[in-house]
Amino acid sequence: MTGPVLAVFRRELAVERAGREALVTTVPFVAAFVVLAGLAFGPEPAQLGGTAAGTAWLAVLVATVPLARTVAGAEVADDTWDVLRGLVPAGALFAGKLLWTWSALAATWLLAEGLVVVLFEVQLTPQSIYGGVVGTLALAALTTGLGVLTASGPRRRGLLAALVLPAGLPAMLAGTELAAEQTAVLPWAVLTTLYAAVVVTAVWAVFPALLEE
Amino acid sequence: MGVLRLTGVTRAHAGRPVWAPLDLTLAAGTLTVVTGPNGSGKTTLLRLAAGLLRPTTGERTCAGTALYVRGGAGLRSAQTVRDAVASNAALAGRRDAAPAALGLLRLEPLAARRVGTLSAGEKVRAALAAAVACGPALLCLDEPTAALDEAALDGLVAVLEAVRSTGTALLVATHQPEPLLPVADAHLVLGTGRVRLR
Repeated sequence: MTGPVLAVFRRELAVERAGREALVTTVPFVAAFVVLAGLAFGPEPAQLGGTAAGTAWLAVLVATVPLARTVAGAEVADDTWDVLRGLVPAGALFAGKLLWTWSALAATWLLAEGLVVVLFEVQLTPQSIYGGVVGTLALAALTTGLGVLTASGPRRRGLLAALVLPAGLPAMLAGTELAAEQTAVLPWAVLTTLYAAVVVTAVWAVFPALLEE
Repeated sequence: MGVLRLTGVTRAHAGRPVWAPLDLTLAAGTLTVVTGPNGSGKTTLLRLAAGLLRPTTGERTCAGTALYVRGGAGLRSAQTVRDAVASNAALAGRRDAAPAALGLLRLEPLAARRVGTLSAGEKVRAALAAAVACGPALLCLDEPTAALDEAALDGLVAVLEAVRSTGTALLVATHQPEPLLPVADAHLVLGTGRVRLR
């Protein structure tokens, strides 16, 4: 099982290395988003500190939309989706795509969080890192499932933002609370963990049906 | 024992079967050409044979991996031919088979080129190399002859014979069957609601 999963993940890395699609769409967007948010919220350190976590998580949540294209939309555009489905069992395909999407979103969160630490002068705490790891896992599962669901047809692709942004709200809210100062950590950590477990399980369960036409 | 066995298979679109119940057995190392007018169900048959569609009625059994490749597709356009073939082979757990597949399809001179920069004929050869590297029991090729000139068509026949020699059963749908029929083992003609096997 791990062989095909890692093969899918390595293939995604190889395609990204060759085309740099996720890199060129995500990095400039996140950098511009955080810098512009900092300018919009004003120069007061207290005000910036209060908005830092939310800014980073909003950037990550919005970045899921273009990233979802790499799950299946780009495969459909290159006409490679059928070959992939023929070679890899549904469970391994889900796990491989999830692993790739999670890596990309975790890197996106790390970039956004790093920018707010430097520009908004806040500190990175263990609970915010936990929120980043688990929250991006939940968002990655959502992105993987909805990326496949909306891959075929322009009408479906138009639905992607309308589906993934509200569905990812719990991850953004919990991740923001975990990164904020003076927050009760345990309830938000439990909520983030439960949300991630439910989303990963649900998308894994429906993934074979999503692959069928 | 056939690689693919379809027994009383139909597939319905909007409640109407595309063809009458179909029985078909493909043996290893055979080439079967599928023809028929637009809308006769060629693509549906190939996708069903490859396991991408479930039959509405009847049974499909396939001994091994089945792949469906449309035209010269199946490779990520951003990758080089060498990397794309190796990536697909790795998905099938056969990364070591990639160089031999490139050699079989005489693709070494193009190996460093990006897939997106290849001509239509070169893309078909690259797609076939990637498919061969995966070692499929059944390879369903949908319109591999589209967009090929005469010279490329002649080259495709030689390529398909080379692929067939590896033991892979080939099911090829085309509107230009003439170059393929002399070397084909069977010719399946799909018409409106009926199937004829020559």
